[in-house]
Amino acid sequence: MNKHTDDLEAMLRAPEPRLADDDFSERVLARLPPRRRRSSARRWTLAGSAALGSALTLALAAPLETVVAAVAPWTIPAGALSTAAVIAVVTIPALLVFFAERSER
Amino acid sequence: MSDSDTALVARVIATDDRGAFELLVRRHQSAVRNFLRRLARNDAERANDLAQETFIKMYQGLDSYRGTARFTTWLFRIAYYTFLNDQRGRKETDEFSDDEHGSVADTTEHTADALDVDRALERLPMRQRAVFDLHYKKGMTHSEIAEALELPLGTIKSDLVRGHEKLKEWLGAQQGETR
Repeated sequence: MNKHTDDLEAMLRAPEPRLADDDFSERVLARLPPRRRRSSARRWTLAGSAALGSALTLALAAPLETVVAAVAPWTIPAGALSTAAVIAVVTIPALLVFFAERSER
Repeated sequence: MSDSDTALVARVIATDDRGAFELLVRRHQSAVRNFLRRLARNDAERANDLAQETFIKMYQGLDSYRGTARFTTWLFRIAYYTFLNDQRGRKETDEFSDDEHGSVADTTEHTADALDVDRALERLPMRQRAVFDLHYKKGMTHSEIAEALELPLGTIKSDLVRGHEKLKEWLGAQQGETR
């Protein structure tokens, strides 16, 4: 490394001046919005509604299947309706939580 | 002994401790404002506005700080992207104009001094200015810069090499002119 390069390196590494705060911090604090906390209440609400929805779907699946089988026995196999309903009830809230949290990042 | 950044962050997250947040701002305001000044080519007013925005975003996003990276790496990432967003909004190019800022050769000194180097740094493209500032002024490693700017490690290394070449060329030309 030649002297010119050494000089440049030394000048680049020279410490920068410490800027006085001059009320900068106060101005930041004055502009602070209410903190958006990732709501654990929202998570529990969604998880609870998913659990409740699943329970209701399971409870109502048998009578619903009987009705569907009577109306259109050739289209929907037995058991498929309740499986699809449980998957939807669990998946939709999970996706809502995922996207809500991702948008806050 | 003063609290670590991580301890202060934990206090803000746990109890919305504004005192802890103020300590973080006071501790890092100078480095962030200097960094943004470098990016904004010494426009102090713009840099201060963007620095305020940076700290507000930091406050709003503290929950997403996982503590896996150094706090300052995370903070400078917010500052960098705050500047990028502002630059996009302004629809300005990053072209450097000697008329506006004074040329590297303006000085009457016969050897390159710190002022010349600062002016030469202003002529670098924005990303290289960020890389140089984080490396030389903030003492960050190549990997930390790559993490802060979300760029590949190779890009950081090549920015430093290319930036060095340009600085040597400009400062060398200036010394030739003033001789």
